[in-house]
Amino acid sequence: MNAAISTTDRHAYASGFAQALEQDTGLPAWLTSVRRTAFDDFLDQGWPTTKQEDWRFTDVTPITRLTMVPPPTGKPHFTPDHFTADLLGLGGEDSRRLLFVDGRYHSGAAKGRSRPDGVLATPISGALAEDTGTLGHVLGHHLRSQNAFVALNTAFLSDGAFIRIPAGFTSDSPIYLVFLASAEGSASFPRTVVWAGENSQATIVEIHLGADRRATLSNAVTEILLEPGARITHHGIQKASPDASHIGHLAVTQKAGSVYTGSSLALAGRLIRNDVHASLAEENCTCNLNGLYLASDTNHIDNHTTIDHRAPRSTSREVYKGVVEDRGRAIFSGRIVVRPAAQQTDARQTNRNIVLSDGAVVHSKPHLEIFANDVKCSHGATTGRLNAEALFYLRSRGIGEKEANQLLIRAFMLEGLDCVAEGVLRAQLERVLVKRIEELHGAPA
Amino acid sequence: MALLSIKNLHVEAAGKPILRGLSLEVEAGEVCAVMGPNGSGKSTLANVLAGREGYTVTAGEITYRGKDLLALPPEERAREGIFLGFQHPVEIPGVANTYFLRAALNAIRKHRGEEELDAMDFLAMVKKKAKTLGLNPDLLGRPVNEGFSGGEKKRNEILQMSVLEPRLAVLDETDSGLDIDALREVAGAVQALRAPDRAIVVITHHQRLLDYLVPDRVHVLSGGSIVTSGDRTLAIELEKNGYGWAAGRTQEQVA
Repeated sequence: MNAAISTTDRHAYASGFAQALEQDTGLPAWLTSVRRTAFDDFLDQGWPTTKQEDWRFTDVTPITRLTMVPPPTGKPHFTPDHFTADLLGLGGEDSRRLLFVDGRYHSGAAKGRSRPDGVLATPISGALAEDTGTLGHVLGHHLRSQNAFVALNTAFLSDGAFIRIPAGFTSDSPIYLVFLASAEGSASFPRTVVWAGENSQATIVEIHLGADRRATLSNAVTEILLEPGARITHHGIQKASPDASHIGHLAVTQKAGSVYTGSSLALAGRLIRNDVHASLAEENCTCNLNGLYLASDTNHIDNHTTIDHRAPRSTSREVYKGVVEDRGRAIFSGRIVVRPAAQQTDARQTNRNIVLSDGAVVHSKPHLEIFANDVKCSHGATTGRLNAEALFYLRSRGIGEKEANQLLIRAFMLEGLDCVAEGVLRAQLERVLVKRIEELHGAPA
Repeated sequence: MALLSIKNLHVEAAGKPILRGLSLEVEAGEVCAVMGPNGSGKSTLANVLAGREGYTVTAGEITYRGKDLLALPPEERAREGIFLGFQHPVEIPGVANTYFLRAALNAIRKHRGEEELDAMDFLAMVKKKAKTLGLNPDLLGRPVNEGFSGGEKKRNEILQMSVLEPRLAVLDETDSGLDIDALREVAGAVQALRAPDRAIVVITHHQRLLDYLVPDRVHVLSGGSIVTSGDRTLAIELEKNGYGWAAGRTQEQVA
């Protein structure tokens, strides 16, 4: 059912792939072999099409037409001062931060890499060169999908972030990973690998940004492995340029008693597709998935999530909320699987959409597959306009229509942050979100 | 010239006529009560004055301070000094009470050409007013009306009125859902807001509120128009004789 890759495109990708292999010197042989296999796999299977249920509402043809490969190595197409995490107000002086430009590590803007606490936050290129021997234990082992985009990411894998939190280590200071797509007409393939040791605790903020008005593709894969008792909070932020696309694949594997709290802020981009697959492989896990999205202009934002309860007594909470306007499109597909062994699962899912214009479209699809009998599962989806009563109440007090709209949109979206972050990070995420809402709806008078 | 002048107002909601030729004049400085049975059009009158959607004015006019009120959107009316005390104040999750109220006050001040209040000055002022009203200061930081009791919501309306200092306040059944003590306090708070340049229209179907907030004029609304008007003794007679008596009285007068 996939769309075959044309002969012309095969040649284009093959030469891009050959060039990439040539450039990425110093990588271990095992990785090169993994990459070759992935590339062949990509060529064999072809692109997903709208005939497939998982891609019914998202047509990737515009992306596939461009045959985008990584830009040649050389000077990055941006000035670091102009676009770093600080511009977003994220990442204080004390935090660790890794910056990647067009998929490659940019040492100029790194902070706090070496710390005496044993936490490793390093570019994958570095981890491979030093061959610390641990990356290979996680990388690629927990992916449960090998669609064309995941295969392409692996085929072009040369860099990204590797984070290893030692057992028992806890920290409230977030690790920031910033991926900037900048070279016109190029693709980047960021890979993030997180290995959280037993009873460790950490917060990771993964930011994907697009340089202004550049047509780029950011094809990201993130793998997170939580050992027993680990607690990981992981915030993803996507703000692509209006001509750029972001395809993200997140695979989370949870062992006994671990807690994963993930949030996704999809703020802008021509096409954003986020696949999340959380596997609650052992008992007593908690998985919180939260998504917020703003689809304006002709933005197309597609969130596909799967929470797979495989063992007893785990809890999942999923809340996705978004505002869709102009000719924007938002897709939410939330799949919850409860396997026969996963007795006493407690799973709840909510999707709420606000539609601001007649041309905006929302597709919301909850999807429960329950094979155990002693479970609590619920789901609910709503799509509607802003509350007319609340709007009138605000306006009847002198607040203008535009500002009243903005206030209610803000309130709706910010509520979504309450359960995922607190303190400084909550304030940072709020600032990012509010900034985007103000871009779209004007600042309060 | 009256502050508010309503002439022969006809209003429909969902295609059904509600107000049928209502005329009413309100002078600056007066407190007037609009009383009437359920379904007589009291809330429609309040909503039309504030500019709520869903009502169609099919005939008549409303002049407020010499302006055609019906031509103004709700926020312009508020900035011109109209305040509606809601019968059912709306809960707005995620918008803090103080944030909302400061945005409202500053929109009005800006319209009047006054300087906007900064957060600190505003907070000090609003806390003081909340205290006078017996409103728990914790409620100020909470989302607008969310989880407030019925009494707290009504006090919050009056707090907003006292902060926004309207020229014309229309209080739509502010007494409903209040126990005797709360009623006395809320009425007292409104009484304290009487001013020579301010008119207060109290919409109610009980005269109880008027024991504490003594009106200068009482108008009886029935079947979509004002059927009779008088001083405060009219409210007491109404309480004794019922609305049927008021409607009959008009017919007698007409005859």
